[in-house]
Amino acid sequence: MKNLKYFEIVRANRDMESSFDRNRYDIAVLSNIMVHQLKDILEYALRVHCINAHLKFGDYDNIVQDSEKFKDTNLVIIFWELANIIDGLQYKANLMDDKEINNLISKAKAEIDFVILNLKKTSMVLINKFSSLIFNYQNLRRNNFDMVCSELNDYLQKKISSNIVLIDIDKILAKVSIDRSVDLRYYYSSKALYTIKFYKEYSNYIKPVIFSATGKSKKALIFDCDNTLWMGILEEDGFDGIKMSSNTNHGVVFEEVQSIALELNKKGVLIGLCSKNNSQDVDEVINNHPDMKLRDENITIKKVNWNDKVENLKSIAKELNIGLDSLVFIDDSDFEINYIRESLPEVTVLQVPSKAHEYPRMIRENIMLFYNISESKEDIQKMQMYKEQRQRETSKSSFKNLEDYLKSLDLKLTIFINEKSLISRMAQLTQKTNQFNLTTKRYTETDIEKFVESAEYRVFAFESKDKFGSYGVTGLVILKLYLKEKIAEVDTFLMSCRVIGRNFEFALFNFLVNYVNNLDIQSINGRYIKTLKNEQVRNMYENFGFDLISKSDTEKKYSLNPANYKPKHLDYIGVTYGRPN
Amino acid sequence: MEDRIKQVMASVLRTDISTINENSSPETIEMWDSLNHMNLILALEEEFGVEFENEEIVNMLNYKLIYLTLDEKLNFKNNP
Repeated sequence: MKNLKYFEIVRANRDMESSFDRNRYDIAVLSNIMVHQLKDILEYALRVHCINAHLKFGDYDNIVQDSEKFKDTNLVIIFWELANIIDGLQYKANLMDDKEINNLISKAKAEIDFVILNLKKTSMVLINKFSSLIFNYQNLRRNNFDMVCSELNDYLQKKISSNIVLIDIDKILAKVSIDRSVDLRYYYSSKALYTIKFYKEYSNYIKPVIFSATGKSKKALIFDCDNTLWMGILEEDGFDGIKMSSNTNHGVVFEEVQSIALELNKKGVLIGLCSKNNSQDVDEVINNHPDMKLRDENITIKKVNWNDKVENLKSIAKELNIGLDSLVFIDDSDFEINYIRESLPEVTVLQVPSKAHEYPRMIRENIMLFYNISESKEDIQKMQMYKEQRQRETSKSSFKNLEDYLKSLDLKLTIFINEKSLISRMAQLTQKTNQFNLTTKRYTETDIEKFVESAEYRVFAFESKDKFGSYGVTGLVILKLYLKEKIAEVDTFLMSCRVIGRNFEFALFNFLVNYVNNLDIQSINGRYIKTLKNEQVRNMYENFGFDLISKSDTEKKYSLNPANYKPKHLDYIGVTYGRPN
Repeated sequence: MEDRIKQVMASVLRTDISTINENSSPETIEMWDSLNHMNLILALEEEFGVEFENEEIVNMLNYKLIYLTLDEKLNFKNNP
């Protein structure tokens, strides 16, 4: 999009208008200035990533009123321009006495409170931080305008609820430059402050938040080795010849890149290797080279062999149980880069820049691909779980059939009902789970909180364990109850890929039927909504014994009378109610 | 240059390029409201690498005037 002109973006965006058959992602933009060029630019930036974004604008300078009107939309973006909280504040502030300034600040704070209150239950809100930079960048001293700015920003920081992300406009202004970000002609004539260049960069900057809310963040960072993790070629330069430390001019960039990857790993991003080398030689470096920052415990998967990298990447996705579109791959070779880009367009492929000093910056510019709005403790523990998974795979082969094997695992399910402390993890599950997911509804923490607090909903999270360890909270069912009509509707039924194939879903369903029977429910309704990734649960409801009520190309609807349910006998899975630690 | 102007107008004003003629104006093109007029000016500035004065912007209210204003601007730019 960087290289497209505005009129080309408008045209391309319009061409994409009708090419979606999937859910709309509605965005409402509230502002006290004119920002209408943002529409085509942000819509296009999201639509090229298959998010069916539709922007609409609130009325000019009606942020407070519109925060009530648009609170049910998927995303609210607020452009609250400091210079226009009263017309001409950028110069009027500096002539105001203390009393007038304090009145102004109090009024603005009251409006902020009201807006935050109205938007408390909105899925996701982005508010630009107040900025005085555009008018004050030359000043050597702070003035009233700056003071109002920092006071209101501190207030915002204190008061925002968990569904609000503050956007630091100054970073975008720094990247684009102030001169290229604003058009004062239009500001004075019609209060349209920002330029097309600014909107393009703004759209780019906020994309990761929206990707995370719609389940599109990346999950794994896969590296080639030679001239990617270190300078030099291991087979030619040898263990002692490769460089990756701050002791050498060029080696230092590799130390920085590895350290950034290590930081991502600590936040839950999976790291892997896909490289054409002898695996023992690479292991030797990972385990014993004094300058390596990434060690074996940080690397979840290695495909170090002389095989085709496209096949290796496909295996990596399969073994980690994630989609190819969750991978980011880094390599220095033109050959590999082009081959993979053409064969696997879903993988994000990054090339090591030919100028060494640009490499860490390239990585930083792409870190937001992994942005996760619900960072929870689970991510940190996940590495250990993937390692345990490897152990399980190896013990599988000594059993005659699957059931014998499952019986030997000492499987346990712990079920938490409406558990507040798990809200973050539950929201994360809805955002990240694609395969074992019957309806693929994406929810934020605020949405889950609504369900947990509502008498009409029951939210079941379950933790699964076997003799090797705990898998963590790996499943979620959300039921909507119509108690008067004696109907329960399954809004969400999902399970993490890590725990598929152990019949946990049957044990869980036995439990759920029992639960709704106690509420005198006479009909459980369920839906399978088809996506590109959830083929494996196409017949889940048939397996549970539901009747198929209706069927279309995209959806199947089912119903079951709990009295007719025949529970599966799974005495090898223990089910208990839980209290989390 | 005529074709470039028409491409920009067709995209921004969401109309078919064949409908644009000398007399095309806010009266004849449905989407040519004041918001889109501003978008149109910005798009033309970007495409031709020029900057219009306020007086020019309010006068560029049909295809012919747009063409003339741009022509004058570009000639001045190239032959100051």
